[in-house]
Amino acid sequence: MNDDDSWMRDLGRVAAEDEAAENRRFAVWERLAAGELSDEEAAALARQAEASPEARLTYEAFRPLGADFEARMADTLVAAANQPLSAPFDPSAPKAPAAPVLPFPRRSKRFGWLAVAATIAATIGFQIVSRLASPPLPLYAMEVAGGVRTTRGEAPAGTPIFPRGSAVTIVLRPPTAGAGKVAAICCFLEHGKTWRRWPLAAEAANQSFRFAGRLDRDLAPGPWRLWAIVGRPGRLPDTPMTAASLHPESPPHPGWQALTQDVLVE
Amino acid sequence: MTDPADLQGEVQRAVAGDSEAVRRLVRLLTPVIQARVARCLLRYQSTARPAARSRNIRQEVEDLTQEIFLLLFAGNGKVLRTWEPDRGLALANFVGLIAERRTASILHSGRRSPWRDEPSPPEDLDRESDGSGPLEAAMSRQQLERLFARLTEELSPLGRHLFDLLFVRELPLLEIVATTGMTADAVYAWRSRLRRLARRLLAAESDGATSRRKTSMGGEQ
Repeated sequence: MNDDDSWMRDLGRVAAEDEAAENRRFAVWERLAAGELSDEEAAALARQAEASPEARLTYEAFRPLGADFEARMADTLVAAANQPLSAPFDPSAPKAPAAPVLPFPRRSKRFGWLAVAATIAATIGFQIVSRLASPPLPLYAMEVAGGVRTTRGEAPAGTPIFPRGSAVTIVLRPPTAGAGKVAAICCFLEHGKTWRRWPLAAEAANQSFRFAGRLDRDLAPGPWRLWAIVGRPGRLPDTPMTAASLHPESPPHPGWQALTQDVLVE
Repeated sequence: MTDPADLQGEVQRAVAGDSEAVRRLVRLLTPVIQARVARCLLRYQSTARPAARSRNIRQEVEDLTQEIFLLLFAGNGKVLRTWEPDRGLALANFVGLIAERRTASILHSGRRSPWRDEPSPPEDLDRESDGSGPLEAAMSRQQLERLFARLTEELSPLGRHLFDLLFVRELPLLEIVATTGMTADAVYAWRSRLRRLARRLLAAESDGATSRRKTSMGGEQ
């Protein structure tokens, strides 16, 4: 046996021991996640969770995600599979007129909404929080498709309303593709306080990005701000909160742009 | 549905967009993915500083489970279609390994962690590597555990399966050949590849720990 075998076996032994210990620790919790416990057994774990913070954490991690999660997940996957992003997505296709650049409001206004039923498949308002100074990154626009558009009320005209569970497509595109690699992330913000990440199927072509999916059915009704951040790989902010913390009067961040869209979720 | 051939057909229908197949697969795999994600997160919790622990593990489990489903189905199910039942890995185990690898990678990079904005100080990461001697001779249990975690991030499901067969279960070559349907030469090649990868990760880990230690001791330059 050479040295490699010796320490690789040590590695294998440690892996085996840790796995065995984890299997013992989590066996009953995994049965909880799989819905294999009787009502009495599940209730016993719930009581255990009330008795200690550690058990509470474990209970929350393994408590079944439920039929609603599964339905939402399946909807998203089916929507993505039946709308292949690569073929129909043509970033050079004619675009709807771009919305004006708006100042970045730090506080969400209270929304009072009246809606007209009209599917949005065009460009809607976007707000630039920051821009790249150097190296130059094209000024991106955000286009959101789906939902219906409001025309009056306290909300700005054109603000979209999205029923929970409805399909949404978000496209981020520059006027013309520039040099260098670009990356993008997409997420939600509610009232400037509660962040909700939103994993979406993503497609990139010619520095444009398209995200497609469905709104979670358990979103709280009310005003949300949809966020997307685009920038150079490795320079995107670690968290959307970093982007949100940028003061409107601050100089543009050199590594990324943040784009937002206020929406109303029903 | 447990027959591998049936499952393979179900996977093919699902990645082709058959909504009923997608729903059945999501129902089948959600507990598997959730459990692997939960294990990884709780493992991370147990070693993270109190301030760096999850503030909403429930949300994190849900987000990561969604992300792994999206990964499996991305590009017409490119990842999911790499599952080969003949290699000896059950679908649940295959998906579980992917979930584990992805979650470990995300936690390692901090890319999607809600507690990323409170990174651990370098000295926390280096604590257990103080006083280490020759790499193979003096590896502590913590180093081996960390190395195994890095291996989990790097290896494909097949590679991770072979690591399990070769170094965890230490099965005889003929049994591995029979289990995986691979040739003996292919298994030998994997053994060498796994050793090289482990050695490379170990060296990187050691270099990283050394440079972090220098930075924390030397201050700004």
